[in-house]
Amino acid sequence: MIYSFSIFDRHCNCIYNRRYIHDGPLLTQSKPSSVNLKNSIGDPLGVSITSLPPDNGSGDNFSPLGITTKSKESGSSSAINGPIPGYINKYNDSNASKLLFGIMYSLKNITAKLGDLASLFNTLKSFSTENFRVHFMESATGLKFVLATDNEVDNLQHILKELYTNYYLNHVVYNALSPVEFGTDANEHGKISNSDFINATDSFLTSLSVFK
Amino acid sequence: MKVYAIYILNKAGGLIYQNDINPGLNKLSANDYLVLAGTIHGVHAIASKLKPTEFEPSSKPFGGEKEIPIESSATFSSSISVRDSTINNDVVNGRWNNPNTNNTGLRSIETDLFNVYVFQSLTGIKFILITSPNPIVHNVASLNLKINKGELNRQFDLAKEIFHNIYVTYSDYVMKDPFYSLEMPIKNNLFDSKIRELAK
Repeated sequence: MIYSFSIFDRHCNCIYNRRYIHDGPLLTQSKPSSVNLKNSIGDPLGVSITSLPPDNGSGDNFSPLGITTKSKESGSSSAINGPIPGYINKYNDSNASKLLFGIMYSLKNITAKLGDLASLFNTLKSFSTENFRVHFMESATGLKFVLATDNEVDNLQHILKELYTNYYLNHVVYNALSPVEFGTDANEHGKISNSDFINATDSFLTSLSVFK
Repeated sequence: MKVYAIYILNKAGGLIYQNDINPGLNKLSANDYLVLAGTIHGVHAIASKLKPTEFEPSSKPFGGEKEIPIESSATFSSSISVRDSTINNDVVNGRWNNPNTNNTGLRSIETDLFNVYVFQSLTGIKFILITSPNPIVHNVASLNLKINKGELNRQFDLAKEIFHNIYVTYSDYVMKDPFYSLEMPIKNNLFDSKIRELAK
């Protein structure tokens, strides 16, 4: 199951963040209330969790890496952008994506140190916790492609490569209107909002056998 | 799966034991090993903040009532419940289950050159195992879009088996050593040789 797809640029900015919401009858939907946003990380017990009423899209659930970030949505319908339910570029500046980048950065460093080879570029493949696995690829220009999945998925290196060579290059790099450096200024060019790229990567990722 | 190295970290993330059993990893300076241990300790803590948000299927009906998320209700109690549920099994097997408290933190790292596994005991001691990578998972042809599933989980189960043996050895040869002071570096030849033996 693919939970989310993010791209970080070489300045540590999250320039694209796509979260997928999966249908699952066994999963209850519950979201932290908007009372204590700051508190929700340090003191998880202090966050009150309410279950939403059953008519409100009971199939939705949080993607991983998400609970610490955002306040309650007004309804699941507002969260859905486009045909595939999920969030597009909503959590780019959230603590979750910063923490994720930090983990990737640290692990990349220790991997490069420990590895006993001359060429140590891009050796880190993935890391996992009890609940999810994160797949990682870095391009030569320092772009980091990150996919969060469940623990069952073993290796998505070729998918990440495909996302870079076929989708990022064609829809973003070869696009004359897209900026060379994302995320350097705080305007709308800070993120990839190219709908062609979003639709193409969405349909590619959802077509994979591991998506569901 | 070949074991490259075994490290043990104390509660504070300090490296208290290091045993490079098989060659395959770079030799680092003593200071770099401490940095490495600290990094893994820190990443473990950060990773536990990245919580998944699906809760276990709840038998309670939907409604306005508040409920405490399962992850938040203290990792300690959840590890206890794991032990309770396996008591019957242990009676049958004659063997105690791993009290792994590593419920949300970093569990494994996969790279081209090695895999890292992390196991945390009830008391907060971390055991770190570095092994050779899995050739089945790592040599996927780039054009072949078939994706393996569950192979890394199976390899993690193998690592868990090793962790179990290390933990038993640790309990027997370090914890029962009257001259060992807690949280301090482990200097015990018997423990060394036992670890070497089980990693072969």
